[in-house]
Amino acid sequence: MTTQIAKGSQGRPADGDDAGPTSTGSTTTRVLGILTLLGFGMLFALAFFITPADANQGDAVRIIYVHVPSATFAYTGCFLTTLGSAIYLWKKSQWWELVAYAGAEIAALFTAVTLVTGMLWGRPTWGVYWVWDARLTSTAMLMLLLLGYLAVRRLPADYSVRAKRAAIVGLLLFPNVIIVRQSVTWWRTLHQTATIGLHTKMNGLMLFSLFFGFVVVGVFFTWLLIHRFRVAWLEEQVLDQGLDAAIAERRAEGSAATSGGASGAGPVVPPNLATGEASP
Amino acid sequence: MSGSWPYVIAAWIIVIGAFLTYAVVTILRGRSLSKQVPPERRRWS
Repeated sequence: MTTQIAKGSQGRPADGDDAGPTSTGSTTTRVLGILTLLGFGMLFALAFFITPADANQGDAVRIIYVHVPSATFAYTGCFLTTLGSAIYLWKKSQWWELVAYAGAEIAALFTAVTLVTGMLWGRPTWGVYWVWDARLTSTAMLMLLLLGYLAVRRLPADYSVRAKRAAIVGLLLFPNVIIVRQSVTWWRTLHQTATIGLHTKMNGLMLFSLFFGFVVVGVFFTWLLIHRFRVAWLEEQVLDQGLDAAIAERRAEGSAATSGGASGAGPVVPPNLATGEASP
Repeated sequence: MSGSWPYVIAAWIIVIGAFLTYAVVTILRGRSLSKQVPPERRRWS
């Protein structure tokens, strides 16, 4: 990932002024954003107007150009989350913890898209939206695990507690991806085996469209990851500021109370929690 | 137009809609948070 967080005056302002960037954008993300827009436009043209219908799947194959890349980058997000979680637990690196968090949220989006597009592909191809076969069930479990990670990460607690709890859940994500990936070979499933492999038999233009889909969704994934990482960083800064302000307020109250006591006003009595009045 | 087309169109609308919505929400959240954080804590290049 090309994003860089620099504290203090050593950081180079991205927008060319001393106030620093007013958003999570930078030159890198702008380039990636333009490439994503152009790429999706071209992928749409390939999927709808240029590639032919498949001999077996018919026009439903046009869903595959976004379904398979979305699934692949959902797995990539899970990998980043497990990697970031492991590094956080090992070295307490906040950078890696935020990568893990950003990766999990994007993986949840991509997994949801994979499930919905898979259902819409299954209806005309298999005749049903959903069957409880190994691939579909394990993908649904992956979605639940991702939602669990995000829920645990957002439980109100100190940063280190939240991060540690989430990292433990994050360690489970990539092993689950291996189960999802291998489910079509370990068990008999309605879902076909891997779409891309050494013995893939596919029309040249259709294969190109699928690979182009991987490139476009990959660029979009990278763009999202950088932005989401920066948002996560900003969220933690805002929480830190709130905590710093609360501590400063308590210290000010404490010093005011101490100086009041020294001036002969008597000891400070904590208020009664039930009535709000001073305790006797 | 074969019987698969409504599913194809629905799938693409959902994909583009979900990606676009998430991207816009992320950018807007980033802009909103950037205003609350001092410049020295939000420098990236």
